Amino acid sequence: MNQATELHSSTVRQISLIATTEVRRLLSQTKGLVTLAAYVMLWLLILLFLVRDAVNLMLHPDAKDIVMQVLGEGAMSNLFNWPVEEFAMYWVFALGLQPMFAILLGAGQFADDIQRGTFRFLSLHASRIALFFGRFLGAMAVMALLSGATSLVTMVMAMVRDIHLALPAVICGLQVWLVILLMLLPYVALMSLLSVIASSSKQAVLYSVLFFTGLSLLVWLADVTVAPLAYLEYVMPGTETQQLMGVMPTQAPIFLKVALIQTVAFLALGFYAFKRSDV
Amino acid sequence: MSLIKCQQLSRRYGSHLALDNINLDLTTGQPIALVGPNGAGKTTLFSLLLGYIHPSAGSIEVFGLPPGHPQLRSKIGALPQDAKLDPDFTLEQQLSLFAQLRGMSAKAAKQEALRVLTLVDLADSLKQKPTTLSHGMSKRVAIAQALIGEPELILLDEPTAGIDPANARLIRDLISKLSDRTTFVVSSHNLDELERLCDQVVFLERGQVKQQVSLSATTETQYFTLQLQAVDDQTVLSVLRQLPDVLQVNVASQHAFVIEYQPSATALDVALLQLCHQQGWRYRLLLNGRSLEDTLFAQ
Repeated sequence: MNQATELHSSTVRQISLIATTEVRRLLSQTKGLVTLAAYVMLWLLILLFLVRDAVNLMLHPDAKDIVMQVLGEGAMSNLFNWPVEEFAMYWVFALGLQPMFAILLGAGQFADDIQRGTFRFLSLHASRIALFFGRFLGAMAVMALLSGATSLVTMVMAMVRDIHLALPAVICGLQVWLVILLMLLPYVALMSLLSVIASSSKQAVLYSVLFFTGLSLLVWLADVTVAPLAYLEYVMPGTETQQLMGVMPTQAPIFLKVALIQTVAFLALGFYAFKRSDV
Repeated sequence: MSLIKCQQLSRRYGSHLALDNINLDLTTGQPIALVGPNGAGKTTLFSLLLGYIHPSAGSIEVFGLPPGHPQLRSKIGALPQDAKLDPDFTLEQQLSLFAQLRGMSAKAAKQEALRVLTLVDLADSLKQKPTTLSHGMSKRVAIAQALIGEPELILLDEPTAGIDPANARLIRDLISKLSDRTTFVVSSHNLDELERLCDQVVFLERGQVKQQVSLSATTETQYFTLQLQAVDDQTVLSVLRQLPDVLQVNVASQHAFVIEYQPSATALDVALLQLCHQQGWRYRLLLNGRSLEDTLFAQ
């Protein structure tokens, strides 16, 4: 055995290598670049045709009164308190749409590679713990890049409208980006679990649809059947979305405790399933 | 040194028992052959040894450690069956990643990728993606992957299946060349190939170890295998049986005779050749010993 291999690679280094490979897949491969382009184009359309129009409406002097009259005091009225209106609207769209992207992109973490046998090669050279958490962190890094890109475009939009918004836009953009990432953690972790169980990424997406619809139905039934079923709401990622819409990013962390607990739980289950699975 | 130790090892897929209470004790050294018909459990045994799947019962030790143990990773390489490389990355990127995962620096990993691809005569394909390779080339790349880090044990699951004779020979030569510092365990249906490569042979059938033989082991009796051209087998049989020191003669296949004789016999091979000459039999082969096929399937 040569000298280089005598040094056992640490798990942390293996995790970092595997996560970096996933980022490279996004940035250097045709398939990844197409995904990136499609994502950015979609967000450009949202930002240019929905967010910008909504910002123009928000800037109207009577807009806040109209919203208060129609919707009352609540989540939507709080959007008028944001220092940068673009980010107020971006926040609403991001809270609704980014989880869907996280589900779609997170579905490919394991299933296809296990079916293709690629993990048979990888598991000869890396531990299962490194493979699992490396892929999870890779998926999170990809989401960080994608959501970071949209946050950056939103910053530019705000600066183009009013250059004096440059500093607040940068601060707001970074805060929103971080909170969105924390909010996405349980979605990606859930997809880590489902992707281990499923036999393809498509099947993992279908499982996620069943997961969300099934649990939503049970929670809804709690009102008419067994009340404790309502606690199942805490199993679903996104329980805090409604509350998040009504607050600024700086106030968001207190609502993200459930998301972090969910992340730990899904990762623990996912790793247990992956460790026991046949590759 | 103990290489592989399996005790009462079983693996079940639903109601199907793929491996049934296997006991196996193999030591390091010359290449080891794993033989058996389709469905005998060869790939299941490999998958268990590599930690891809878990046993339903029993225990496995490789170098005294359970499969998947972190210390084993630098000691084992393998060619898994039906495994494909990531279609998104070049061979260099993937082999370098594997080498880095084993602890090498990025620079050393690139050199290692080139080294192992050179060993399988694919250095020119460094920048190619797996989707552009033929079946044979893919197999050679997978073997190159098994050689990363110069492991002490390499498991090769049907390394020459589906590849052309020239490349099959290249792989056999590679195994022979490296077998003085690496123990290979090779599964194959090609008994001639295994016979040329391996000393120890483990024969699996219906999930059980039916035989475990050493081709170089000395036995109480010895064998010659004589293959002739266009003769009457019954006539040859009766003539051969009359030779001194011959204990038994069997027809292994058409015109091929396995002659069991006493070790005390002298110059029986010379006598056999003289007999061929006298009888006008044209011989194709006189083998000192039995083929692996005859050893395993002799009645």
